[in-house]
Amino acid sequence: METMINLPSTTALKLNTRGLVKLSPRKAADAMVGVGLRSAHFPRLLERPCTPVRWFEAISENYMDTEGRPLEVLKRIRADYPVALHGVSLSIGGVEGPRPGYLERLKRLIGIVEPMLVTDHLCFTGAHASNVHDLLPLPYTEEAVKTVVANVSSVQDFLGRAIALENVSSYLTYKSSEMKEEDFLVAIAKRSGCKILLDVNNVFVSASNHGFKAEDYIDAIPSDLIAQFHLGGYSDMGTFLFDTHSRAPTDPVLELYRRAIRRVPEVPVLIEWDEAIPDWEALETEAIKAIDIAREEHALPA
Amino acid sequence: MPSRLELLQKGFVRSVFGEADRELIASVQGGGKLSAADAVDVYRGGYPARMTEALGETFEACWRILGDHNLSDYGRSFSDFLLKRFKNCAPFIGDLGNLEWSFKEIFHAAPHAGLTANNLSVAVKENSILIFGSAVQVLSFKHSPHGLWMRDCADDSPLSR
Repeated sequence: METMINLPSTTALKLNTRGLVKLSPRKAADAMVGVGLRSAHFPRLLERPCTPVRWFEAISENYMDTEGRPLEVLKRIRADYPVALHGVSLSIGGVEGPRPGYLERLKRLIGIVEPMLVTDHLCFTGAHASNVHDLLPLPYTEEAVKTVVANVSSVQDFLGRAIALENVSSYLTYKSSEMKEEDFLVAIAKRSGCKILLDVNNVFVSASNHGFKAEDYIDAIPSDLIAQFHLGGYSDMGTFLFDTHSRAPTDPVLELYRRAIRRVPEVPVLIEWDEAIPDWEALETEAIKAIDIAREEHALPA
Repeated sequence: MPSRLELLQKGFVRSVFGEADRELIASVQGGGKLSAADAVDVYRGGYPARMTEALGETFEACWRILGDHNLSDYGRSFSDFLLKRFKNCAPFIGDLGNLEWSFKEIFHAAPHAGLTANNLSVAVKENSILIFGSAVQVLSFKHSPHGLWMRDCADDSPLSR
């Protein structure tokens, strides 16, 4: 078994089980692969390990209402790495818009973290008085486009910066939808000026559940709108695919990622793992896979 | 007048918190091999799972020892916490919490047939002892939470103090 570790600058090391070391220089065009910042890895990360991981994603809500250890660790990570803030409760598709107070707290966190990206999901999460804490799908209608665009505009005005929206996995579709999901996503990005966080796993899950071609979806997203990729793992429930983030990205998802990263080699990529979180080394292994695929697609020797 | 999108979203939220909304089910198609109702149930089932998980993150050791099935019972003392935390600005909140907890207990209690008023008057003799079934409770409160609770059931807009 080999583990690749990178120094923060430009040198990578490979250690095998016998402790032999060989150098593998980081390529200038290496994919910028990051992982989700999870408390299970705090002790390991505070040792400042050499790692191929080049950035971290923090769940915004986990740091909005804390002044304790999570925020302290986030600040220490931020001192060494770029960080993206990823929200789960913005409810950008809700007819009521974001909940009162939410944006103020997010803006305060942005001021502390100075993230490279601020992202959330293209969905609604309930009503102001009743948050269901889930990413509920929107109908792909002109009415929903207008609602989201208006919400994005006010959010971006308030935050003073662009955000990126992620396509969500879904387990149902609305009969009232007037367009394909990818067209809905692109229309919102173009009209509001936001970017797209393209979750490749979510594309695969929804394509499998609803019977469309995942490749067509990926190809329909203009390169200049893609701000970030997510790679996660789903669970096969027998009757549908469920977006659980409980395992490594599967081979079909990695093949879709290969197709996507070919067009946009500079876009940051995230390994997303939220359930049954593995140890740090296993997470790094998945990051290395993503880097290797990008290298292969850009004809860089390993 | 609410827009189509607003109606859809309210129906979806109602379905997650309670019975699945018939209009919502009629307006969707299930993914994979799911029927429309099964697909809505995927979202309905996710809510208690996430609440349990959130509670479990705080009470991690208890969760591991007791397992999922007991975790929702930890809400029993939540109204005590609410009263302690908010007694100055919302002194009724403890009573409201107790009412909601009692409702949950009654809601999940085994149903039983009660006596009608006529049968009751015939059946009850002097010195009879009446025992309530598990789905009946006599509640008493210092404040009057019933009106607030009824309003919350009928209207999902935020309640004011």
